[in-house]
Amino acid sequence: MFQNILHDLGGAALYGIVSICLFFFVFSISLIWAMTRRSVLLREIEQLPLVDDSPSLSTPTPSHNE
Amino acid sequence: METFRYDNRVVRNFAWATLIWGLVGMSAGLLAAVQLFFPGANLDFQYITFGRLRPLHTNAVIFAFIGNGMFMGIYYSLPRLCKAPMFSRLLSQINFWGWNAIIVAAAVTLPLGFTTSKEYAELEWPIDIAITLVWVAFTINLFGTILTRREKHLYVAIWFYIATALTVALLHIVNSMEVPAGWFKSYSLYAGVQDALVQWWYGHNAVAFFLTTPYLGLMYYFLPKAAGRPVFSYRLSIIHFWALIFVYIWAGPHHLLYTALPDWAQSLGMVFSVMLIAPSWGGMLNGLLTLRGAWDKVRQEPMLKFMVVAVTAYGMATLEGPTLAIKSVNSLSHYTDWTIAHVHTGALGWNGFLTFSMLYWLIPRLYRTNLYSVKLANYHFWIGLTGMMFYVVPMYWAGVTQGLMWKQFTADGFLQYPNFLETVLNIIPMYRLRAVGGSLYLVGAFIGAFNLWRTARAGAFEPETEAQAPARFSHTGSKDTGHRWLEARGMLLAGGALVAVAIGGLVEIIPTFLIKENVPTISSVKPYTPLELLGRDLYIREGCVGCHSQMIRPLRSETERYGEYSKAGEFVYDHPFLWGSKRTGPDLHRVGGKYPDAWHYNHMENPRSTSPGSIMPKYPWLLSQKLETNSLPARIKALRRVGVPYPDNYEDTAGRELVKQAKGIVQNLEAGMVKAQPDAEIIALIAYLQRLGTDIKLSKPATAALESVSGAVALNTQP
Repeated sequence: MFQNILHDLGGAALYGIVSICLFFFVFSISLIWAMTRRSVLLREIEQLPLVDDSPSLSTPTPSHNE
Repeated sequence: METFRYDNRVVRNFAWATLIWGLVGMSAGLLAAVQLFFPGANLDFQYITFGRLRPLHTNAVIFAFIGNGMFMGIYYSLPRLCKAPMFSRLLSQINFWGWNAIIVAAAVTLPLGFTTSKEYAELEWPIDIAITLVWVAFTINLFGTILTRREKHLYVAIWFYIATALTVALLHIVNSMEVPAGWFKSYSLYAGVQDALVQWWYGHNAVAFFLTTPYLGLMYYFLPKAAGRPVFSYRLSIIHFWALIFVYIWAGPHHLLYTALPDWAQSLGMVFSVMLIAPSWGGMLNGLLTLRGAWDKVRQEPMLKFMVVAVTAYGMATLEGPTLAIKSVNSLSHYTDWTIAHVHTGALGWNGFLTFSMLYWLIPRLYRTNLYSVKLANYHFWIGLTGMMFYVVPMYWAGVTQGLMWKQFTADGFLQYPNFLETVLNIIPMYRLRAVGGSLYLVGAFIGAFNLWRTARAGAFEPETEAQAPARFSHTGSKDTGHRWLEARGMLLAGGALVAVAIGGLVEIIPTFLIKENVPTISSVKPYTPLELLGRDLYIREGCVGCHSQMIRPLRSETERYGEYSKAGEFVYDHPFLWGSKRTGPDLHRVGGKYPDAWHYNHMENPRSTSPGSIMPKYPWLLSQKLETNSLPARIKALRRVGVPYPDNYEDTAGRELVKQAKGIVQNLEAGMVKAQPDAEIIALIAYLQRLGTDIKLSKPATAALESVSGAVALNTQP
């Protein structure tokens, strides 16, 4: 089936295959890179949006004034 | 510990700008929508006629509403994620005032008809230069802040901002390559197929890197903040980022399926579009799963309601986009209102609701008070959501219905609806419903604006927020190397992102320029005459391309209706290309010679006199306004510079040739009982329309006919 799908696409032989291989390469690298990051580090980074209102701030929180 | 201050003024300015421009842009959209079932809604006023109003609407919504919204979010989140104030307050101000001055310039020039006609890049060259300068100011400010940060790590939102800044610069510069012919007129450096490919490489990636990546960054910042918990999977967000920016850039040609674009480019566009589902849905699920265990907050917080619908709309739009990019689906959906429904799922749902979500979160905080009314915010949410449904569902209905009608054959092999107008009249009720949906969405936006204005009035604006963070770097001694390494890491990321986005663009665009066979030349195709050229420029000025395509796809339903399918070689002198992307009216590529000159004259004066029920606007001003011919030499010179082979000194005799051709048309009109002035604009437009698609009819008629037959036979197998 996949052979048919690829065959029906003009020029798939060269550009299609090369491009998909390229994407597979980029995807694999980013997957490997993401998976090999230390959990402790990622936990630290993912907290960044939550801790950015530094302690000295008194950001008001909206209350529900219904 | 170091103490520093975040600048809230620029965030506030962008916030009000996004709100005000949002209301303006949506109102323009509503007026355009009403004109589609009530053409008289333009009051016969040329400056607000559909063709000129549509680019005003799209530019206002994309660059004014969403653009200001994007800057608002970035100028709030970036310094806080970097634990450093913005790099330069001056650059922030240049960014704000420059950007909004550009928008004002757009709001003036587009109704005046100063347009390049390339979708979402309509602004003329002086404004293009201004956009470049303001964007450079933004980019310096962005990287300056990143390089002077106190926080060691770059949160993923910043990656998305970096990709946005670099890619938009690349797209804008490459697509805006044009040669000026006066202050408000230019011709694209590219012609025909190349211009189409560059334009849709730009157009598609403007959606990707102006409407998607910055907003994904904002989602990764504001959603965890509002939910009070970190993003579901930071690892997933890393993969989301790299896969998304790499894949997106290849998908542009899916806007040109079945056109005269080389087949391999179409195939690439389709394959990469389908692959795009994976990173897009990864991002959507990452967003929605961040709310796991916090769904109770969604019930209480209007801001989160908007956010959830925005992220869901992102998921829907990014599933639909790849579906529409499948060739067989596209053969039905392309040129119909299905595309309009698709983009509005993204614009109203993803960008619109995410912008409102940020506003509901930011304004109370900037003004240090509570939201004026949670109840009103909930009204806004439900009215907006209902409006969205009433917008997109009728448009799907209209798109599919009309697409099927265009393709319907009788048992005897004739088109069942040979009259295009019949398919239009059938979907007018859907156009009415769409306007209802748009009105509801706009009412919601007005309620939101009122609510936020009352909130601001009740509070006290805090121009700067003080913050403290440990000094990250000592700028002396041994730690200096650490600083350098960190700077390098920010730049490395930027470099990596640029390489990732450049590959796809290069693979697609460079071969089209280098390989000659990609655009087979046709010897009988000649440059436009002076009169036709000015007529073509009028066609561009009036925005005819917004409703009429000039690209007959090689499908039997199209060759039966319009004639011989369009060949790449027919467009080699088209700077810019005018293939169009929507058929509110019929395709015009083979309209040349189809009707007498007098028909066109009467039709432009009042389309309903020749086509009862037509929704095309009247163009009475074309009959009374004098054709501007002073700029003709400049236009011919500019076109020669981009490669149109006008002979040397042709501009000296062009005026005489123009007058001669105009006289001929006036005589034809007299034969059709129409008395016209030879120097009226309409004469030039008729000359252009009568030339359209006729060049190939001059070359070896027998062979052409034969090709046409074999083409049609081969295409019978197409869906």
